[in-house]
Amino acid sequence: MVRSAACSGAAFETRRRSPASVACVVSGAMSAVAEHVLVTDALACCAGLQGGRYVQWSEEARDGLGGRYSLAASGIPAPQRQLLGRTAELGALLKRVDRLTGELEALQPPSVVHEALVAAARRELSSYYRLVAILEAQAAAASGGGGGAPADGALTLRRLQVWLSEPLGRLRVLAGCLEAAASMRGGQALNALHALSKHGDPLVRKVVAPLLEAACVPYFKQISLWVLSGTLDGGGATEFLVAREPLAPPHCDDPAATWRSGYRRNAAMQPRFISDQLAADILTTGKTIAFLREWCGDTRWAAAIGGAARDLAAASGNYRQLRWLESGVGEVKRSVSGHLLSIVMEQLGLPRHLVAIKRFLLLGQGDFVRVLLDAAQQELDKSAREVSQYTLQGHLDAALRACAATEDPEVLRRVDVRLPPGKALEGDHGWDVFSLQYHVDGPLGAVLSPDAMAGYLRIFRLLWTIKHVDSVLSQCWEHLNSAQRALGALRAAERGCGMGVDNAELVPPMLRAFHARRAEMASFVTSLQYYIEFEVMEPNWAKLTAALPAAADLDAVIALHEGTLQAIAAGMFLDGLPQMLTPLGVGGAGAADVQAGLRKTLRAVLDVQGPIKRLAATVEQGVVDQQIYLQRAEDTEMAGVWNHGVIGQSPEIPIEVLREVGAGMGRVYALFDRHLRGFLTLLPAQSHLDLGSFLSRFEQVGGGGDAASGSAAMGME
Amino acid sequence: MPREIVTLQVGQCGNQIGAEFWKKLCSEHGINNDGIVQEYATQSGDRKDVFFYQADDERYIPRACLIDLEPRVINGIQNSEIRNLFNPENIFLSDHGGGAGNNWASGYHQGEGVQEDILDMIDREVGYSDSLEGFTLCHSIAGGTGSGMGSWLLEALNDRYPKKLVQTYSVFPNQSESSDVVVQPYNSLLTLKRLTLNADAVVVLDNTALNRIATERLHISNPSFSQVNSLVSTVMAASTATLRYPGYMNNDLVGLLASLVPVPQCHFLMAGYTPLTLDATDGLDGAAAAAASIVRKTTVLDVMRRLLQPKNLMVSAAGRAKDYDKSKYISILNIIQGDVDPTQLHQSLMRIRERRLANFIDWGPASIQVALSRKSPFVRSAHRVSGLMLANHTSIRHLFNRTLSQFDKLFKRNAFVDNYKEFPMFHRMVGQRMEADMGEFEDAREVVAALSEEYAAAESSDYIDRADGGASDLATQLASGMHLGSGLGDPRAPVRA
Repeated sequence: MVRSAACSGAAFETRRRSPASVACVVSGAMSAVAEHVLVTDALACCAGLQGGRYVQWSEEARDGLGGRYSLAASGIPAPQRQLLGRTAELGALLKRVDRLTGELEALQPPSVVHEALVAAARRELSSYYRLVAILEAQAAAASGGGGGAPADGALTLRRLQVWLSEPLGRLRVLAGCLEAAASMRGGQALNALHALSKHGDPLVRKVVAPLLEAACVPYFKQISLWVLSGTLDGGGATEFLVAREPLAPPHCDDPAATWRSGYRRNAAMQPRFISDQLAADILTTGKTIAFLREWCGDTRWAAAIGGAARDLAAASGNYRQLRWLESGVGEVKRSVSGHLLSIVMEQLGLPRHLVAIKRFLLLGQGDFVRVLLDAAQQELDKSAREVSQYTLQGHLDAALRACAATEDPEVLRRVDVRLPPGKALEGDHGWDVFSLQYHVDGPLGAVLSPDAMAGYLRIFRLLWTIKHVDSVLSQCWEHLNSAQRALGALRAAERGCGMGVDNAELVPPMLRAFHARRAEMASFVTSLQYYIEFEVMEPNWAKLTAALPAAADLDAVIALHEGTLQAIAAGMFLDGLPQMLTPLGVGGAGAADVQAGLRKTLRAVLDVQGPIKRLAATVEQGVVDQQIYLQRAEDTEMAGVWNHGVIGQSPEIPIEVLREVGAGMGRVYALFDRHLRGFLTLLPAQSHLDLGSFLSRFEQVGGGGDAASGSAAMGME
Repeated sequence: MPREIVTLQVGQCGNQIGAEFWKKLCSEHGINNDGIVQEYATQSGDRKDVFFYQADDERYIPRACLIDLEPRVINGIQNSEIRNLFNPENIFLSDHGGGAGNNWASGYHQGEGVQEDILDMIDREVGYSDSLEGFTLCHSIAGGTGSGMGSWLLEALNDRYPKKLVQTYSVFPNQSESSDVVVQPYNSLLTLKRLTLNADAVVVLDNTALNRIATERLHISNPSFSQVNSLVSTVMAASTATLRYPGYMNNDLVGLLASLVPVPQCHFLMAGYTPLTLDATDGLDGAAAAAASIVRKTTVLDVMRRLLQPKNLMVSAAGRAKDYDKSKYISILNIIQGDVDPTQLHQSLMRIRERRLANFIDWGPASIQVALSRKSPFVRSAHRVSGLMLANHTSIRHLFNRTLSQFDKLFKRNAFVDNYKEFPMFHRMVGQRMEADMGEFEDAREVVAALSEEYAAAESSDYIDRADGGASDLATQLASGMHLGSGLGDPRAPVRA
């Protein structure tokens, strides 16, 4: 066969050529040339040869259109000239097709779709050549009979024209197809062919259909390779509907990143006849297998999809059988997704890890929290810079050992102390920087991704702060109680020995007021905890655990988990609506404001321990002074000396201290009250949350405050 | 390991309810009568170490001291199926075994006499814990040992462990006139003084109400001791459920008590429990047992509503309805056990709130608090949900008032005081002559009367700011110095931080 490299290396031709690429140099001279000579020339021309006596191929490009056949200037009568011109067009088309196939083949990197297309084009060409060969034989037979007038049935230019009219059309379409595909690759080329296959002209359809079908074969092979083994064929990787994304170093070892963005759908390379849904399924299926192979070290998936694989492989790729592809892919997807889920859920025990996270990071395991708070308190009271990771880790390990959760050690060792890297801020305490983290490795990281863990970290920080405040308030209660008892002892001694302590009578009302303030703060903290526990944490978590077993694939699991995390964070005012400007120009409260308000309120509560501790210490000191005094009085009595000094220094609780402590409490409480009110004012703007029952808990706060200052709220209840 | 609680059971009644309590705990934790955790219970994720410690041979031993002055009840325990459960070193019986003769003074005095033995025992028991949270005392306040020796013990604990919590389960006597112990009012009053001054929280178990519940709610015509004690042990077990089945909140005793006792004097708690059943083995006939085996659908709202009904309270209602209407809840903690949907929970709370089923004090923030706790998987129950209410209610003062009036009736006639006079607290030596000194009675009366007044005062809105009788202007000024001058309007009024 003729393989002309005529234009190899020529610039890519993107413009569609006009089918008439033959320039006829019409000369005025008329001389009769024998018909069969012209037929021979025409056939040579049709076969893509250089030409004959009267028709010559000239490579010289004109108008950038490549070469052309030119007719001899004279000796050809006008009708023949015209007929010859038509056949010459065939030759030119043939050369063009040749050139295009050559170009397509030479393309770097090679494209499998192009190769298939070229092969199909060659098949088309070879049937064309067969025709030309038959015609040549016919012409030769005719001309062998002698140079006389054409015999009946001899091949004339006109007959030739009739013979070649259909091939001319086919070649035109073929050239058009090749041209269309030349500038595109892979899926795009398929798209172009697919568009042509919808052409209104039946001839065009007839030519394009086999081309499209052929070109689809490698593409579909790629699909089945991807769907059945999760690999991308190196050659066609860039023109497939799934593309591999290179991951930057910190992410290449991260299963979450691999799962989420390791592969993406390459929409540009998605043939239009593959629906988005199917494309998504194809992506997920292959991705799942790749993930199973690369991250789970699992090979059993191959057995699981054995049946489906045979079916898929048996049917050759045909774009008309998309339904088959859909069902085949669907089936494979179901089975590999199920397989991956069973690995994640059962083998790796995602539910178990979630339970551990809920217990330790979300502080669901109360006894663990209690021990950790008790043990770490001293260390965390230090400034943030002096806190020792090792000490805290030791406390954490002790708390983990002590708690009743029957977690296996493999889970427990994943819980870890986290102190933020870098220098802590001036004035921060250990409490402000301490947090726990939960390590995951391997494929679980796809669900418990670094992002998700960052979310847990934020939730932990707030929960831990609340627990700290709660614990401080409990301690305050104990301090107040011991002050109360000390007061009791003091009075008992007073009754017993008739020796009172000055100003002791001032303490009971103060104690009562301190108790009331503490109770008010404790009520806020408790309400907050109830809200978080019963209205945020538990419902969302229950939803998650109920929905997890029904999840169809890993993406669904990830979506559920992230949704839960977001809902919890939003419920705890960590996330939510950003600051908005209403039309009236009044700023709605953003989540950040609410969060800041909450933190300020909690911090104000922490300060209550100052005055309370001081008051308790003062009262206890009073008891000690009283004892010392009584002892001294007894000693002097025993010695029989009446010591006037004893009388002069009767024990007292210094009034200044009481004043100071009272004023201190006043300041703390005022601050708390202001921040709490500020916080509560911001809440109604968080319209995405159902805060009704949370807010209703505070309706009495105002009542209490008012009643305390003796105003009209007494009528409540 | 963390926040352990040592239980001290004193006297007949204390040891009886204590034994029931331990039986209950063992069955809930899957511990058998010898202290061995059953195979099925090894992975249950509960906290046994709050109330038990593990001996070297893996046995779980109750952190309990059994103390009595007469051997009958403790011998009974030692001959019962749980004889191997307790640490034999933790059993104290007086040498003479003669008891305290229903005399508070005798119990108190004998306590003082054996204080070394008992405090050694307690010290040793405390030594088994890593971070003791506090003590639980089980006793009755009417007899001699539980009341007298219990009172001494309360003072001794305060002295020796001043920073530890002391919670008591105190059985109050049947206050109907036909009481078998005539000096009940004396004993009760003297014990009440210690419960007021030396305990952090007292769960009041009123025998009158317990009997009423047994007859009316459980339809037992003549309730036995063990049936009533089983009610008590149910309450005790439920009130410690959040400590034993840790959840997000209420995991330590101090947290529980701090929320219930906003002001330290008012620390007498009422308990209510629903649904009440006796253990199926306790003499239910076939049909009743079958009915009990059907798991009833009980909603959280039902449980919470029933808990607020006085008939389910284990304290007798106030004598006069008028007083009851005035009385208010200072705090309520509902411990809900079982299979509960948390969303149901806050809806129920809202409903109760809307219908104003609970009348709260108005001088401070107060609302029903709820603790959710798991149910033991090892104890079959006819009810999906059960609830315990611990409430601090001002109507409890009527109980004290009745004790006071009964005391007054006896005391003004100087009836039976001779029994007390022979003990050092109630006499002083004038030369060789012993002279009665009833100062202790008067003092106790004063303390209890003050307690009752405190509760009465808590019913009014100006409780926190009220001027004490003897308090000076300065005191009021100091206390009110803590209030804010201004800016306290509508709580929703915007405050720009």
